[in-house]
Amino acid sequence: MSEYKIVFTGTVGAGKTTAIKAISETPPVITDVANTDQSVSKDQTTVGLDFGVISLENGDRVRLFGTPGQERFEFMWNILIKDAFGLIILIDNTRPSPISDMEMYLTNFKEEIKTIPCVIGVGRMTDDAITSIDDFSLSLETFDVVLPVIPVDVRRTEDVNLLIQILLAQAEANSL
Amino acid sequence: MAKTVVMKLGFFGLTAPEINLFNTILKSSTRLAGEWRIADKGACDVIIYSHSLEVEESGRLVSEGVSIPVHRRNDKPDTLHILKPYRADEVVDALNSALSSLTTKDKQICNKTTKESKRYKLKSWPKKHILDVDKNYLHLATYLSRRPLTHNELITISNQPDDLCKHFIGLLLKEGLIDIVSLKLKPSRLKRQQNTSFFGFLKNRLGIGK
Repeated sequence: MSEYKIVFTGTVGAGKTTAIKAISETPPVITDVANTDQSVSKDQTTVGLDFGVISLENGDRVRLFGTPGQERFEFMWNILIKDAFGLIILIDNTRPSPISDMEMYLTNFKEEIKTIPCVIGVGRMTDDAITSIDDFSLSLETFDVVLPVIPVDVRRTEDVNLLIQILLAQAEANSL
Repeated sequence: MAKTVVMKLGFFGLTAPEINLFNTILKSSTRLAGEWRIADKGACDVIIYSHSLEVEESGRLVSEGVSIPVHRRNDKPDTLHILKPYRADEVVDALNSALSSLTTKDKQICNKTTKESKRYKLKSWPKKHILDVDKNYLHLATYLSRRPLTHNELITISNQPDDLCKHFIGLLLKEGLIDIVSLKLKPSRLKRQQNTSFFGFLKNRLGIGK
């Protein structure tokens, strides 16, 4: 039996906990507490990590980890990413500087994303959004890396599945 | 006086500092046989590539010349290799071995680029208006974003029709979003193992199996 790890990271309120809930077969272990960050309009926020699991019919397991969003928990991101099969970066496009948010995560994981499958999911992408999907792609060029960037609504299971599917496609290409 | 052999050295999947280190070794070594030049693009005689690019046990990248994988020092590869962290003497030994194994005939073959060896790799993620043309373009772009693939490899790995792949590559070429990599590599032994591999099991579990 093998175990694989997929890490969900992103800003506070980007939907990491929701994404894991959408595909985990068991109710995820959630370490949310009352939010004291006035800049974010949510009652609860994750301070430890979220954890979910997907069991496969051959006995393999995919473990889903959600990192806490706050930058002060950066030390945990680097622990969680070790030996990960894939990394999903979730961005909340209604935050003041969503591209800077993405760049912060790319900088933090700059070594890992060279080899580990990685996809960027942009949430709350409305038609009148100031920052478009193409703006995110353009910003990626400064990191000398080509990563898929897609709009997502992590409340929809099919959107979260699509993120996983993209990680799988990258892993398949890597394995040729 | 014997004519010095000029060898073109290419890299695949290595970082810029690693390539700089190899360049320094090439320039400073007194034991290195032949004359070595680093090739930024085009055909090359020897390719040094990251072992992490290969997962499939037998899916080694093999050029018509010589390809040398870079392994971690705790690995025990039984073929020509270079270990990381690098030691200059080991790098020189590996390059000298590669040089001696290349015959004149091999070198001539290696310098030819054929249509079959043409591989495509995304240089930047396509804009929304391109991906919106067909829902499968997202997946094709994902495959091409990871490593250079031939047209046939893209068809096999994506399980998409020839026409769709051809049209997508054409579109990317027109938009200047794709690089043509002319590394001469043996065709990958592509086999779709949808039902027996981790990929297949996970796709089935999520209901996204093709």
